[in-house]
Amino acid sequence: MTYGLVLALLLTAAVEAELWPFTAYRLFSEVRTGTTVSLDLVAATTEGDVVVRPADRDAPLATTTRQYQDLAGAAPDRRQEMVTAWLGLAGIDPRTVRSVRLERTVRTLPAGADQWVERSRETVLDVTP
Amino acid sequence: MSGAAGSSLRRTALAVDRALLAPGPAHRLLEVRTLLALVIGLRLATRDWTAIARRPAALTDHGNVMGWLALTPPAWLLVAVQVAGLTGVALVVAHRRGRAGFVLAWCTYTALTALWGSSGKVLHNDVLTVTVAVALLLAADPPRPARTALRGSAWGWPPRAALATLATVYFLTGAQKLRHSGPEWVFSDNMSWVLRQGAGGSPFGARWVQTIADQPVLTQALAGGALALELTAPLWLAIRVTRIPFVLAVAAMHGSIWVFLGLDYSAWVLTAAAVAVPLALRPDQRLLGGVLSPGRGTGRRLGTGAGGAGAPVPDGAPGDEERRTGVTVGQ
Repeated sequence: MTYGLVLALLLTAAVEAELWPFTAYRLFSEVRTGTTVSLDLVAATTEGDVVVRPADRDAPLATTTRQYQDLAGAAPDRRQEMVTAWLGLAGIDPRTVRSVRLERTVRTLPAGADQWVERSRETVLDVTP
Repeated sequence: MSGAAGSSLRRTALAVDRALLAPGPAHRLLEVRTLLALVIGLRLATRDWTAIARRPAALTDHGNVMGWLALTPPAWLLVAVQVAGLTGVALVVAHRRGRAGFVLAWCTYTALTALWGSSGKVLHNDVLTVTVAVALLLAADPPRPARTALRGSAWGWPPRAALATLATVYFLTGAQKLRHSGPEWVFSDNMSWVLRQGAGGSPFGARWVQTIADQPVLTQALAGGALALELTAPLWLAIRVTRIPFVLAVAAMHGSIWVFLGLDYSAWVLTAAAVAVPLALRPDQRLLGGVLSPGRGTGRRLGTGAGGAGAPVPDGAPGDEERRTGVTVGQ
């Protein structure tokens, strides 16, 4: 049992498998720099652009934003389903939304500054809910 | 590999094997199991698991042990599972069907935390508790009523397996940093940027975290200390007298992560304490005077497993593993 557990942990980490609770234990393992890249979902509504964020900050809802990266590779029906679900979590009525853009944003923190500065923003995907 | 080196390696492996599998006191198993059950109980009791039911099915990720569940469970079912888990914890604490109670608590806790984490992001907050507790799922219940005086292989290996699991996990967290970033993880601005990027999460405000992030010597010392602690975890935990210092060190490390970034790794600290503190005591010592492993018996020893009988020894006699290996690796 002891050896089996230890070997399973070592093997999972070696092959970098992620099937929770089997995990590679990559906690803060990448070197951070002064540049961050993030994905944002922006809804074009009748009242202007709104960043789509789950209103409820509980982990099981807020961390769904990690799946933004899956949108580009998803089938059109699946994309629409996911985007509509995120609009619902953000409390935005899909009927008021013309389209939802997935945007890739690069930000940097200049030396001595305490506010991150947006360096570039590009639209990765456009979805009609 | 030379013959001498191979022979030395074999001797070391045999010594480790003896230390891991040597007979141990039944009361130590009860203490570790009870403390881990209390950690599970705390985690089960202090979270609103019904939030899982509010996550749309379209945004549920199935890449975990609960991935087979196609439907989003209703809130009432999640509460029922939570209550079942807490009942299991109560059974363990009351020393009534402790093994069954522990299995129930672990299964419900694992299911709920897997569902909680089914949002696309790998959440590590509860994974140490779940993983370390696996070692105790197969541990036999010591027979009543003289359970706490018994020594046997059946009660020696499970706490040590939990300790080995704990050591392996901490080692891996450090090894992955070296694997993916190398020494740069320590000797660069890495930790400064970790602090600057996460400062907004600090419960004490971002300003002072940014001030610390601007001290390169301090941030590199923090990074170096954390990495050294993780990589040397197996050494700290192999030696009885350094187990409590290890718990204090990980408490400082995870505590600083919460203070700086607001990330809650309290379950890691509690799990490390639940396993390492009882195993830091001498074999004859009981944690908290025996509150977690009540009863005193006749001092029998079962040297070859739960079913085997050996010569009676006084309760509190030195551990077999100590006499065999001459070190304090086991307990």
